[in-house]
Amino acid sequence: MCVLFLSILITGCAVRLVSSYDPMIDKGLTEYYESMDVFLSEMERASANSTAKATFTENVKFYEESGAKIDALVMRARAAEPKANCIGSDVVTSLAGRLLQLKPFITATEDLNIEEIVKGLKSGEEGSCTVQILRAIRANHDLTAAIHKHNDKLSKPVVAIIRPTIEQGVRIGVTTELAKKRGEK
Amino acid sequence: MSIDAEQLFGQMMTAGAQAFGTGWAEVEKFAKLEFKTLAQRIKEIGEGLAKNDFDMPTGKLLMAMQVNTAIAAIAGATTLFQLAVEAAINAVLATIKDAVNTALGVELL
Repeated sequence: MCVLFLSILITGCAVRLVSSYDPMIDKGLTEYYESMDVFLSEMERASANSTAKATFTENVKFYEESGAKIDALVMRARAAEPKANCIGSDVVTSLAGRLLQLKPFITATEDLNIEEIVKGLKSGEEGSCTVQILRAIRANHDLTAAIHKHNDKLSKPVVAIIRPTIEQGVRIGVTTELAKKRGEK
Repeated sequence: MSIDAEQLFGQMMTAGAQAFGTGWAEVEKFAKLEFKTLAQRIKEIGEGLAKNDFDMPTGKLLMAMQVNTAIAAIAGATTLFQLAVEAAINAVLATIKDAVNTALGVELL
């Protein structure tokens, strides 16, 4: 510990616990949100008009292409911190389970098994916190596709939930990325 | 179906405070905003199911999206906490550097 402390002092280097700001992740997330926002509006409209454009098969390519762009951001984040783990990984896993034990809050519907959903989700795997945030955004992208496939459309009430969910994930990603600027402009 | 968003939000904040311990103060503002938004949306999913706006499988998938977002929120809070720790360490190091250099009269560090 002392050796580490002295070596930091001697080298005069500042300590870095988190990777540097990556403008590509910032830009990539912003562009992803823009494309999803437009896409969801189009799907909502097409669903209301019952046009063929609303169907899942008509939009598979969009899901694949925009999903691949998030994969590229995940790869970039992994490359920036190849050996990093999100310190909160264990916390993330346990807290996610604890936070979403909704049973006491739900009445009249026993079919909605929250524990099953939580157990079924992957969380707390290796990778920095940035990787975990991007993986969560990617997972929500896939879930949007799954909902679209299940209903073969994205109706207005469904989009009313999906849109702010995607927006929140992207906002978390952009907020943390901007915080990495550490006061720089 | 009825979900008490305020109660859920309170439980999220309590769980967050326990998980982050002394670091909670650094991330509380961020977590408060994100958890409140999540709790409200979970309530809306319950209401959507009750009104038959969507079916149960869709409700489960929408709920899974909220779990993912909760994970992103916690990972985001962890990043902000790490940055706060990093800033504190570097402030201490800078103070030591200044003190040593001043005392010696040369730029040793």
